[in-house]
Amino acid sequence: MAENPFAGQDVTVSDNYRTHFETYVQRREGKGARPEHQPFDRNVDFWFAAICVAVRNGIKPSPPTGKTYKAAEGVALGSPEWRPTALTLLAIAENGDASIVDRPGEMMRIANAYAHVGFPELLEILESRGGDTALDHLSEAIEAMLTK
Amino acid sequence: MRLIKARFDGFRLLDGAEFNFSVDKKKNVTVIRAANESGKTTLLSALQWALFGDEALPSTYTTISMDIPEGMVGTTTAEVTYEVETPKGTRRYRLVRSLSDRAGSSSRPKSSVALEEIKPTGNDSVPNVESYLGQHMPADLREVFFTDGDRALSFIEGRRGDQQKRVRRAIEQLMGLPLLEAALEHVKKAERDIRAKADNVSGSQQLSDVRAQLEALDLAIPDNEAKLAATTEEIANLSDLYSRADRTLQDALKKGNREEIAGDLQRIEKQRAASEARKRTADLDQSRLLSGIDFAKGMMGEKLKAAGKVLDQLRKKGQIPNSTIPVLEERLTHADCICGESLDPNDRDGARRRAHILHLIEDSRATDVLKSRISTIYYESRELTNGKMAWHDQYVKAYSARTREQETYEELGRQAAELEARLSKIKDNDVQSAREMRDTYLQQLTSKREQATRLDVTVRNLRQQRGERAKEMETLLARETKGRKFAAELSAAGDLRKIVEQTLVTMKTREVDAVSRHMNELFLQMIGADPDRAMIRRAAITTDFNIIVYGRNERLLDPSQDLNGASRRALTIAFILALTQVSGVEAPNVIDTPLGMMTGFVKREVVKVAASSSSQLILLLTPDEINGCEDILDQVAGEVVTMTNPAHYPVMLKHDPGTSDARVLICKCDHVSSCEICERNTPSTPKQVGEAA
Repeated sequence: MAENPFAGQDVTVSDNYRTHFETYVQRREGKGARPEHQPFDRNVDFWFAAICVAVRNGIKPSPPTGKTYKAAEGVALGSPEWRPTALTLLAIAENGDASIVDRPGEMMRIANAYAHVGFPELLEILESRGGDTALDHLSEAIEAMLTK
Repeated sequence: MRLIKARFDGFRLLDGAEFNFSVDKKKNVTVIRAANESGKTTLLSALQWALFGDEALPSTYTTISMDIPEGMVGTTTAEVTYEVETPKGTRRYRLVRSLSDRAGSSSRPKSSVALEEIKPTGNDSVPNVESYLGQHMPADLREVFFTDGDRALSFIEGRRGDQQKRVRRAIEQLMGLPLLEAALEHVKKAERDIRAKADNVSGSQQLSDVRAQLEALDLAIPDNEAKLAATTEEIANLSDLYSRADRTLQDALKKGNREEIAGDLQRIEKQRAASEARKRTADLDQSRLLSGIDFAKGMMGEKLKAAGKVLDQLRKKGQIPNSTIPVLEERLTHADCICGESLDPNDRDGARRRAHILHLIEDSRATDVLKSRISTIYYESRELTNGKMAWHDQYVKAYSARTREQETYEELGRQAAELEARLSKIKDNDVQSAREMRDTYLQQLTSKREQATRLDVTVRNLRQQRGERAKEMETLLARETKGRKFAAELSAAGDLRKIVEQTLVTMKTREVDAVSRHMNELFLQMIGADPDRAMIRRAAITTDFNIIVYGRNERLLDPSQDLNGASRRALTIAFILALTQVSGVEAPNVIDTPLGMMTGFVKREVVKVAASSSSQLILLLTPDEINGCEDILDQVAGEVVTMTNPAHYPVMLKHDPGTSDARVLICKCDHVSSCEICERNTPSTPKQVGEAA
């Protein structure tokens, strides 16, 4: 996608998940980060994974309520370049009308709503890893989801 | 000599302590049962003091009881009854030795001693007691006949030279070799005297010169022989030190060179760091799959398809692709329109048409933005909606790579840990210092061997010169009338000297060989060595008085290192018993705690062999040593008593002995029974006693 329609939008997340971003995102610790324990490179990757889990599990989206915070700026969604397309397609599918492509704010609301309902599922997987690493435990769970 | 009974008063823990020793030839063993700290070693010392005098105890040894207050005087008395076999039959003696000492005094006073022969007609006092005692039981034999399990080990432990010296001394003393050596010196002196007389009588200068040369040679030969013996002893010690240093070096080399191991460790650590980096990359590769396009395709597949359908419908309606503007813009690049009319900007109609197309483009632009975006999405969505979903394959590949790298990392970690462990065991410069030490000993050994060779050559030359001078002297004497008598005397003295010298050599070799063979028999019997299967095949005493042991394939073993504790003790006891048997000296073997570190078969066999190899055996045993040998002691013990230290109540003794004096109590309990005095708590009882208290 030549342009990122989400560039002016915010990735908004419930404040309840703020600490989890610190736990599972590498970028915060730079070179000291351990991918096996922090499987996501950036905040938007963690957020996008939550959307994917929610979509895969067929959960009805619901926008964040209560206190929220800006976990990332929409410009961060510009890479990888297929990601704005994926989010746009999600909005089209959800809305049933392709004209939504002209309303980035609404598309972003849909994405944030999916992420909001996806986080509890994603975190349930991550927080039940026991002695396993976050990377292995989540990968196995995803593998199970995809082969279901 | 056979001990009959002994009584000690005021000798440390022994006060009013009476012991009867078995003189029954079939049951020749006396067992003194006593736990640790109950007077066994005191009794061994007391017997030696009584029989051998003050020299038998260290000068700082105090005999009086610990209960005597500082500054007060205490008296120690020992009374021993014994018998000796003489050509005229058995004679019985009573020995009394005593001293009075002040508690806290720095030196022990000399003892006084009295000896009397016990006769049916009354006792006869014996004058010159020490001389008599020396005849009945020579002081030189004390350390062979009176010993303990630990001290006996000195025959095979410690410096090699010292071991040899102790073994040689024990053999020489017991075989009466010092007497022969004294006889030899005597004959040599007689030779010198005869030569001096002959020299005086003849007045010949030539004879006088030869005599002077012989005198000088007679001084030089023993001097060089002594130097050679000392050098040989040093060589033995250095050989021992060299062997140990070499073994240390071999051990150090087995552990490895510190620098080499440190280098290996550094290399492994580098590989490990590289492996860790690769593993991190592999982790990263797998983590990226959780943000990748195939992950999105797999997870959002349904929604992506749904969106695709919406876009497909638009395409079918012709709204996608949105190509109006691009077609018009594209046409402006041409000279004519698709209808065939000119679009040449230089032509008036052409310019007009171009302006019209530009106007159409501007009008379409605003309304086509939406369609344009949808068109873009339509084309871009193909990447997400078409094609095979490859997440699983990528996951398997990434996971395998990670696992492989993890295994490599862990293997390198194990190697590093092993190297670190080896490194921690090696002291700095371990190999280097061990090699330096070994080389130093080798250098000293080489130097000493060269010295020994020189001395050996010197001694041979001196002996040859002596023979030539002696012959020359005989010839010179034979020429003179007055000298013939001296020549005959000298010849006789020379013959006598040769006989004594040859006897000494024979005794030293033949008797040592006899002790060696007998020791081997007793030792193998004690340890139950099977000649075909055993790890230890035989023991021997070398001509230079080393006690050695051979393993399988005639492999030489170092008794102090290659034998276990029980076998070491068995070997030394076998040596002592063999020595006393071969010597023919009849005297009691008194051994304190001989069975320490022994269990089972070896312990039982040592008791059996010792009982059958000794004329009278007095064993000072702990209850633990007796344990397992009760049935053997039933058969061989003619006398058994128990010594008990009352200070052991209530922790170790079961009953209150009714006294807190520092003296042992003696009861008639044998090796299996106990009474109110000697009954001891079982290991669990002290707690109960404490609870009751």
